[in-house]
Amino acid sequence: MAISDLPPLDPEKGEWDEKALSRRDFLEAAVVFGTLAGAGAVAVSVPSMRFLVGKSLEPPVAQWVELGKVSDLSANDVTRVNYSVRGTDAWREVTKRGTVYVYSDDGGESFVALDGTCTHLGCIVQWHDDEQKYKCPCHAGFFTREGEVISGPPPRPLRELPVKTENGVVFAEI
Amino acid sequence: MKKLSIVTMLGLLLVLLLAACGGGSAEPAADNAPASQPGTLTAVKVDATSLDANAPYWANAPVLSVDTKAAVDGNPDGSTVKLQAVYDGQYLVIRSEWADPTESVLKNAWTWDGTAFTKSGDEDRIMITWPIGNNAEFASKGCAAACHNSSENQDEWWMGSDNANIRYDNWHWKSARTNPLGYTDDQWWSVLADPADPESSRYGDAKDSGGYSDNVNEDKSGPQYMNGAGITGDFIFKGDEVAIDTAALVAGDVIPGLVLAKPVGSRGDIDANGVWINGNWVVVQRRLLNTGHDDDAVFTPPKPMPFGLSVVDNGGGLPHTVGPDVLTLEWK
Amino acid sequence: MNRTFQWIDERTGLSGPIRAFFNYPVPKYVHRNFLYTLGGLTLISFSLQVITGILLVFYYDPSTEGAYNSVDYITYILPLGWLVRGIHHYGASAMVILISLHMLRTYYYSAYKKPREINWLTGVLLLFLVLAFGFTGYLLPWDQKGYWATKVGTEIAGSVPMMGAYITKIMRGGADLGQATLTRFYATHVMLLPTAVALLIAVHIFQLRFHGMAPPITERAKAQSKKFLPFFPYWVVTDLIAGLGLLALLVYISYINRAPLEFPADPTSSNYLPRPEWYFLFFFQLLKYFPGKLEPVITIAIPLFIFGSMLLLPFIDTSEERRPWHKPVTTLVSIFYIVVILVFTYLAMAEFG
Repeated sequence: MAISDLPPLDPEKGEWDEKALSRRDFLEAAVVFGTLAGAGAVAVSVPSMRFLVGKSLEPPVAQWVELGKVSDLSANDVTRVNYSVRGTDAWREVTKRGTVYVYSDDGGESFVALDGTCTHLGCIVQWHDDEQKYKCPCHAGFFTREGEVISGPPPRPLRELPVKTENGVVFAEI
Repeated sequence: MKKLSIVTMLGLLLVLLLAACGGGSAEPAADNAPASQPGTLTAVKVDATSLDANAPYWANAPVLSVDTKAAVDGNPDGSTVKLQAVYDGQYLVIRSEWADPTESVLKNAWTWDGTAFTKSGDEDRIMITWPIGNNAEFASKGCAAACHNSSENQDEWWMGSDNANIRYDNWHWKSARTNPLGYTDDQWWSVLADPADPESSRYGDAKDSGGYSDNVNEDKSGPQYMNGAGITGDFIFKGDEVAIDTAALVAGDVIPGLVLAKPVGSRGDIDANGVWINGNWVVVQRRLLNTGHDDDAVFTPPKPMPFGLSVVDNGGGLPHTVGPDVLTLEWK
Repeated sequence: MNRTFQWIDERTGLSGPIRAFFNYPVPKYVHRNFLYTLGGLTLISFSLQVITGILLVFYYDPSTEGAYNSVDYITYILPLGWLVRGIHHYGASAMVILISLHMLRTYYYSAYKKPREINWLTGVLLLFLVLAFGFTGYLLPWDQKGYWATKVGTEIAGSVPMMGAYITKIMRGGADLGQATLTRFYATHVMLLPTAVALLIAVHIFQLRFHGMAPPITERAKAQSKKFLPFFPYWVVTDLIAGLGLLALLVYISYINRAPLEFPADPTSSNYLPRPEWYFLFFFQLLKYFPGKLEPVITIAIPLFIFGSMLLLPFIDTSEERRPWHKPVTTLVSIFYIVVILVFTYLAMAEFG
């Protein structure tokens, strides 16, 4: 940078420091500035991004929820279970609620649990007993009793949940 | 240019108005999804309300018809309840009308056969249930949210909640126990007080005095009192009761099984006027929008309120019939 | 009085810039022309959003347990709460309408052309930010409508190939919609977006002042282009009249039609039909025609294409011609988009009743 590039100063005020504005000094200052600014930007933005992402990407803590006693679940029909279970939502202690559909393929010996969340956009599907299929009210996605997609926009079958039976009570892992 | 500007401004107004209407029609889901939420009861604003079932304003209040279904599989479904509502600056009034071939007002009445008493009889009822405070599940699922019936054993079913913070306000109109004195039993539901007793989730609102009591003697073989104002009356009101005198009875006389008094306090918040004519109950109930009592739901028009409905024909407990859908009270 | 004024001016040096700002010469053809108040009106509607937004923050509780009750309280119990929330709610729609009309005016007058490209680009970004305002504000009442619209909205973002799942999780602050989502949306809505919009508006207005009004396109306006009026009070008065009209309209709409609040969010309800705000409806409707694997076409390709072509517009259309009736291509393209948006909005409204 040359003095001629700068606006003239009022002589009463003073003058530009010619020496300090010499080319080499300017380059040095520019390089130092560039490095510091870059380092500063990284130093600020990387932790900021990490801070903002937070724990978003961590898998949710798996929890076993009670679906009911074996004797209470239908051996032949699909049972809708609205569970509610205490858990943590970020920093908040809350009651988590959701919908699971339960059916049995062997007359009540063992059970299969499907997450009632539609794989399209996350609405809760409804079981239609007369048509023997799940229907999503949002965009008319249909699933078989086993959760396979029949028609409509859902890209994946309904999510099957791990199931266990303890002391005659059926649990699913959500 | 000037003309163009006026046109633009008008267009802008129109678009904004349209947006407003769009926002309006999107308001309650009940309007948009009639298949899932058909039941909206619209309360109409009037200058002054009363308990008169034939007040002229009922001609202008929209009727919501609710087909009641058996609450327990295998029982017969119930009749269709026609609901209407009006409100003024202070009160909400709900008029209900439904077919009931028999007027049942002698609950636990004692029939004298000349030597001994036998107890019989029950009553008709209608219940309107509101959440106390905002309740997401009740609003989206209706009374089913409060019905804890996952067990196969119906004796274990109970109405209420599993969390003391979740409470319901239940307007329990009873043809024998409360209607003769012109009120509705004001109750609330919450957690079971006694895990073994499914009825222990239902509580009466606070009261200072009054309320009905059973008319039964110490060994429970007959009534303790009879009506001093006339032996054959259907009801004994508090103050009219005199000690039973079997010598004054003839075989076939029926002594009411209850001594009635209107409760003083929150329990008596709801006034009622129920009349059975020509095979129909017509019941008008009126309550302050805000009673100021902790055990009551608060109405703040125009805030919509979800509610549930059930009807009992000469009975109690499980054989009631319910409005199967989410019902919503709105205000006009 | 004069001495006080002098005292302040000596210490702040503001009187010069302020006078220059107020005395800015505005060409006569924009004076008392409502087509040229659309930008000012958008700014006024943004100011109304800021004022009502600040008021709402005094009562709003950004927690999953308290949000609904606080909005319920604002709407039905708090004195004039219905009015403040009503203006904020309907004002959001007004802002979308006004910014769209403002952009259409700019588009048909070819005001995006050299040297005003940066003004157009900041405008497109502002439109994007206003839509983001709508999307984030929607969730805050934590009612059925906001909960399900956000659930669907974040799932749509999840249909981006490869990294969709990450985007959804980062937007939600976790796998599920919950407290972290609400706080994120709240922070974005009340801190990030207002700051960004205010800065962009400053750049936008500075650019407008720097380049002045775009040249007139009609003969009549051209005849007036050499006559000027000072910005204050002439133009300001027109904008303020229009602004007061807008405020009156918003008050009226809020009064006759209270800002909607549905029942509280119930994550287990299966009969609730999620529906976005009206300005996203056409997009939501389009989703229905592209099931399964084709979905990213709608969710990603089309928005990218629309925003991309808007951003590139001043660099593609570089001709000198400014009269829309002599520019069939741009005019027809805009009409095509308007028709598509209107048709699909109508279809969606007809379907939802």
